[in-house]
Amino acid sequence: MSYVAAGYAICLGVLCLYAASLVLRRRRLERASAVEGVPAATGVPATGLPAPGGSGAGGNGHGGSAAAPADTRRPPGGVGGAP
Amino acid sequence: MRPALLRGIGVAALVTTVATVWLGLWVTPPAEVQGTLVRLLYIHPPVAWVALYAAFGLAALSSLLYLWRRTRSFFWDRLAAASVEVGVVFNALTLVTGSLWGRPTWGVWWTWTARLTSTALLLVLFLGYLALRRVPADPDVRARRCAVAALVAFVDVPIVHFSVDWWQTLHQSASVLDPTLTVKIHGSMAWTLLLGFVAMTLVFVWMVAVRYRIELLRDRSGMEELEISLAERRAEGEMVGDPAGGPVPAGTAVGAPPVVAAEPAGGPR
Repeated sequence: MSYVAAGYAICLGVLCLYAASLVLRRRRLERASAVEGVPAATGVPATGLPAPGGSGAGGNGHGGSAAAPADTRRPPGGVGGAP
Repeated sequence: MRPALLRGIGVAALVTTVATVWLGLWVTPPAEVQGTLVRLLYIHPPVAWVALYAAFGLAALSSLLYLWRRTRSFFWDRLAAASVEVGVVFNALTLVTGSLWGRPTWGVWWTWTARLTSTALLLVLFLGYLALRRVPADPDVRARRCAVAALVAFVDVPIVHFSVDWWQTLHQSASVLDPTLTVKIHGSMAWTLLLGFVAMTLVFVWMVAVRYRIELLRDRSGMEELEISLAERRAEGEMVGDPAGGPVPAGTAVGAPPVVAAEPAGGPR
């Protein structure tokens, strides 16, 4: 095998393998979140207990941290700038 | 990113990559001095461009935006993480394809010259970044720590870029992006190289988008687990504080949820 063929084979092979691993990881997580997402979306966790921050005891008017989807969370000290 | 757009970028990346390989291996002529080895240069510089400038540049920019209070958001942290992981793959490929070109051209697989050494150091630094992300910590602490690490590691990128000018090295100087921006490559070769840059950039964009989605799903999954455990602890507290089912007195600490520093008091702003 020539150096050129080896270079192309390694480069494309690694990129294909990495791309496949990304797709598989994403699918696995999406499947897992779809299973877990049903109770979370209705506000009732899989344990059957009421979700925190709801209308029950402990509600502080802001909904609590549990009510926020992960992509809208802000770290401490953050003042916005949502992309 | 919308699924249709992501799919479109994926298809464009695939088509341009196949076109680059076809042009690079079968259409373009061999070079006068390098012969067929020039074909490796249709993938090596584009891969290096993605690793050094696109991936690590995006990671540094995202880290900077995370550290800046006005733009602080976990979006930037996740984008930096995604970008670094993809960049590490491209950085490794840069070293491998460069080594495969160097063996027949220079007579050695590896030599400790400035360009090669600084590129290898860059790989090690960003592998350290990925290791740092796996250290268990509060999400904000981890994000800040990693942002600083990415910025420190990025200092090596200009060193890699200018190493061929600052030190005597086997690696040649810039042939396309030289200060005068004069392309010194034959027409079909130049176009193939340009297509290679477009192809690898599209591959990078697609990979970062998918990798970002993975990071987002992981964060959400972690949040859901946290929500469930918080609900359990609250329910335990209510049962212990008032077995008869009445209201829990104010200030009752039994069953209080653990302090989660990732979320500011009062929920998201």
